[in-house]
Amino acid sequence: MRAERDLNMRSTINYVSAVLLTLLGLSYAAVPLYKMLCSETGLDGTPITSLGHKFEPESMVPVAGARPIRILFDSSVADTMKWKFTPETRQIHVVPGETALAFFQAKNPSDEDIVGISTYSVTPAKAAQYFNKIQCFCFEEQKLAAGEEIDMPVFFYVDPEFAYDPWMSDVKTITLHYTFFKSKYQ
Amino acid sequence: MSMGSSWQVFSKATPPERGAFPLDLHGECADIVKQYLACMRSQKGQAVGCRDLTQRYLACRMDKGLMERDSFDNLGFSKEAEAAAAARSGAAPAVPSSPSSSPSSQQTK
Repeated sequence: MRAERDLNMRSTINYVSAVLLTLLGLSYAAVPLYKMLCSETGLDGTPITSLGHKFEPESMVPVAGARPIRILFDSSVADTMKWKFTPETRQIHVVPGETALAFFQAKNPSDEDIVGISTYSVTPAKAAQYFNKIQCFCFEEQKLAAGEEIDMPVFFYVDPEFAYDPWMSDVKTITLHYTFFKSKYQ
Repeated sequence: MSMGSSWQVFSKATPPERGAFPLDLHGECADIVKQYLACMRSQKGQAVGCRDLTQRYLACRMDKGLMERDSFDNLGFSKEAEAAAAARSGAAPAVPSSPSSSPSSQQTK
């Protein structure tokens, strides 16, 4: 009787500690697991970096007969940021589906190395969903040594669906604005 | 990760598909950038007139290890895209013909 109770007790302890250990392990695994989930689905603004998520090549074909859109490029720097940052291509005319390159130029005229990070906005906001950036210099910290000057490319296209969306019929110009901030981590 | 997310929600813009370009710190492709900017000026900002230079710039980045190597089909230079672009630049009036520096001399793989 007593031996049986002891056995029961021991197996209960084993079960409970197994559950606890599993939960503890899962809590440590949560960070990499969430990272995987986010880079797979692009959740919460994480760039989709996992393989098999390239934009479809079929969507990067200029739409025949579509109205050209004027893309304007604009830039600014935060007050505390000592970089000079200007668009080298002021405007580009593309049709939906046509991939194009734009360049910005960043210069660090100060005598210290500065790490910067940029955000961007697209106006009008309703057109932002169609503005597909394939690759750019945003979302990552960029370090410029003292006096360094560099070309920063943006490779983009406007989604072909833009041409067929009646809500976009009055959008003739899309403005892409970049702002560079001084990074906190330096 | 959550760095720009509240802004993202506000402007409804999505992050770039392939993340960020590494900086061309040694100016390895700076020549092509210059040519491209000159081309864009001469074409009055019509991207279609400078497609070959766009492709050459991306090829240069790939050659120098500044961009993940990929088929140009995935970058908007598939046969269909080229045909559509050619039809468009042919139809565009009064655009001075670009000095056709064909990208075929470059590695276009």
